[in-house]
Amino acid sequence: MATREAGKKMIMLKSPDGMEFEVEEAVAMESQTIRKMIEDDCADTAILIPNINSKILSRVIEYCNKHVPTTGATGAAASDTVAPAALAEDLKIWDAEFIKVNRATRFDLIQAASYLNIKGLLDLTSQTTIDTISDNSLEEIRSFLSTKNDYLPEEEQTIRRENQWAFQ
Amino acid sequence: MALPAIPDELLVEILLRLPTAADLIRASAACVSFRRLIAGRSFTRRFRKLHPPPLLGFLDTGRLRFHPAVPPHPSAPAARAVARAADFSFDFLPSPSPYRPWSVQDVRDGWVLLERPRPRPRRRGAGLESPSYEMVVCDPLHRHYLLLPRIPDDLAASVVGAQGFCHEDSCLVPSGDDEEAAATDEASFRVIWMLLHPTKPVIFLFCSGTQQWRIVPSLTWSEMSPGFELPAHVFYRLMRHYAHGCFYWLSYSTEKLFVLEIRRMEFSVADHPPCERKLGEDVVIAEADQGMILMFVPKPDTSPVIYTVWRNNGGRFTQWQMEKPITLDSGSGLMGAVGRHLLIYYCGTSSVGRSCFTQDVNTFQLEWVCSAVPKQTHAYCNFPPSLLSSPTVSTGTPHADVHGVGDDMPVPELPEADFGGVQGPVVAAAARAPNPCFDAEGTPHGDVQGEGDDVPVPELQEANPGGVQGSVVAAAARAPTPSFVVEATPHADIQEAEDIVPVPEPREAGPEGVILCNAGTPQGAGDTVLVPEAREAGPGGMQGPVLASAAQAPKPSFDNNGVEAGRGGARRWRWGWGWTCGVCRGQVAEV
Repeated sequence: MATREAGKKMIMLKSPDGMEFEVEEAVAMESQTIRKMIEDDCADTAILIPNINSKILSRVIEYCNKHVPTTGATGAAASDTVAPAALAEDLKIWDAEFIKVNRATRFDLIQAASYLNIKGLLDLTSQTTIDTISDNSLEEIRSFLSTKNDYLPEEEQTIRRENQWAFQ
Repeated sequence: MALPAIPDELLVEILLRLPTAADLIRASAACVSFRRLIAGRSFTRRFRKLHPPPLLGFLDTGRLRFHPAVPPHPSAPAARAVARAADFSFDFLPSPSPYRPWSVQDVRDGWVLLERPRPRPRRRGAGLESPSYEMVVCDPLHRHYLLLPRIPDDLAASVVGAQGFCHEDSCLVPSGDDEEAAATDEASFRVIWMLLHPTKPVIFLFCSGTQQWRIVPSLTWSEMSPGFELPAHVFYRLMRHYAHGCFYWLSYSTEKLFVLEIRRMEFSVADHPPCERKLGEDVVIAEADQGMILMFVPKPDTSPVIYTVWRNNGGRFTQWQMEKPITLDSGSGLMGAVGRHLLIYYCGTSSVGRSCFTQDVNTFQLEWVCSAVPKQTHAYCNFPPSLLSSPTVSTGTPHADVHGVGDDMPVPELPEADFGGVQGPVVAAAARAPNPCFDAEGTPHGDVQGEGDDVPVPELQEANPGGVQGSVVAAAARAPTPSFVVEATPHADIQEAEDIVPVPEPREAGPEGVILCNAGTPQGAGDTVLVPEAREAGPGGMQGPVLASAAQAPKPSFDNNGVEAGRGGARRWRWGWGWTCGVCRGQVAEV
């Protein structure tokens, strides 16, 4: 990149609660939403990230820092000696640790990943949620996804009857 | 601790990652809004893209029987449900004839392409009919079918009649990521009819979306591969394979094979792997990682069979790399591949008995599918019934934009389209179209805008031969703002919910009459839209494409004229912009 000699180009991200985060441009560009802003030259000064509080934004930046491709001379120190497969394995373990958060935080992260369009984080957070609920009862699914059963009893019966195979 | 409700867009991201259709259906039972999300059109489209339809069993194309996957195969419950719901004897196809039985030509994504000879002997030369066989594409699960139209003479004559041809093949095109596929939805399909001429291949492509054949431009043989001439006797019998966006046709030649890259519709001549192959012995092509393909070529006269394995980049490729050969157990062999899964039959004498297995080419994981080994078979991969269709839920609470959830919608079913009668395109588009507009010759009749409306629409019976000249549209379901136009004087504009709009019943549309079948488009759950029943279109036939539709019609709330809806129970699985067709002997879907 043109800015390499002058050090890495930094981007300022602001959360609505007033916190500012200075991150490398490459890290910020893990978010397709921010990438687009940068590419469209809408990001001269600080970028305000609406709807994402500083606590969640700092977690998101943590994720992006870890997942930014470490290509080029300035890559993370670990990457030049570690095989790609091992690196991927390492990332997986890191992800598993990263996602050990409570339910509310996880949904905040899903929301942030969705808004910022960070595919890896969206996959990770959504998939973890699915893994949590996939073997659970309907009641647990409802409670986990904060919804209430608003079917009439006979409607629920109908769904079960017509899709009996799926409930076996 | 109660959390605030999760916004729909996040729920979608989460629910999309449910691994199987069964999980989706269970989740949809959680609450009405989940069901609404899951039944939505964009959701089902994305889900299909993320999760390829599972292998549910094998279709014995000789005896027309379905062999579902059985436990402990993970698809067993879904396969059993499909076996119960679907009609793999294809009895619902039009004008059955013992002299011209339909035979299965291809099976893909739940669609089945069948062919039979045309009723009259084909004339040679310029007057050749195209395609040379009568073709129908159907969905045995929902009993929809579409008779493919003939290719217009002027389009065909320029390439077909002039040159004669060596051999032909027809097949269903897998839906891909390309624009054409993206523009349509999951209820659409494409068909290829390919001819090998001495000078070049000729490919026609039919799209269910446009209802038309178009010709795909191609190079001549020598332009594709300098010096290549098509030896007719060598490319007599074509064996077709599909992997990673390409069709591969092999024949008796061990020098060349043909490749059609689907995204660009580009036909090419490629090299055969440098190995022997017994005359007429088929290979198997499976998908490996990173767009690579693996070709398994049986070594001549080996028992048990040894397969040499060749790896390639796919498409027009560079070079075949030889891999370690594989040897199967005595009594077994490869019968094909679905994606990265080899399909293996076993007819040996061990206690396992006759069986079909799948084996993953990456993990080598072996899975038992069923204990049948049909001779002529196609793998049947599809989503189980009712994932995309709606159950008979009628909450009475309108959910805007529900795409059929809980809609009650009997729609016409128009079987038995004979040749001759219909000149215009006959489309029964059901479902899903925004602003459907049903046009019957005449003045406007009723505009139905409300939710929860009861709209009986005309019942059109006995369209006589020659009767239909205009377009016949039976649309159903799902579209917002339905509008019915039926021959009659202006009738009513209905804007409020719970209105009931009786419409006239034009029966016996005689010659020159127009049959207009339509069905409404309820926006909300609990809508009841009665649609016409058009029956007994006599001989006569159709020139245009005939689409008939069924549509997601669970539990029609009335029995039209006491007509018994045939195979009742199974009909509940209808969905989609289904169609049926034609000159119709429709029955109201009954569940």
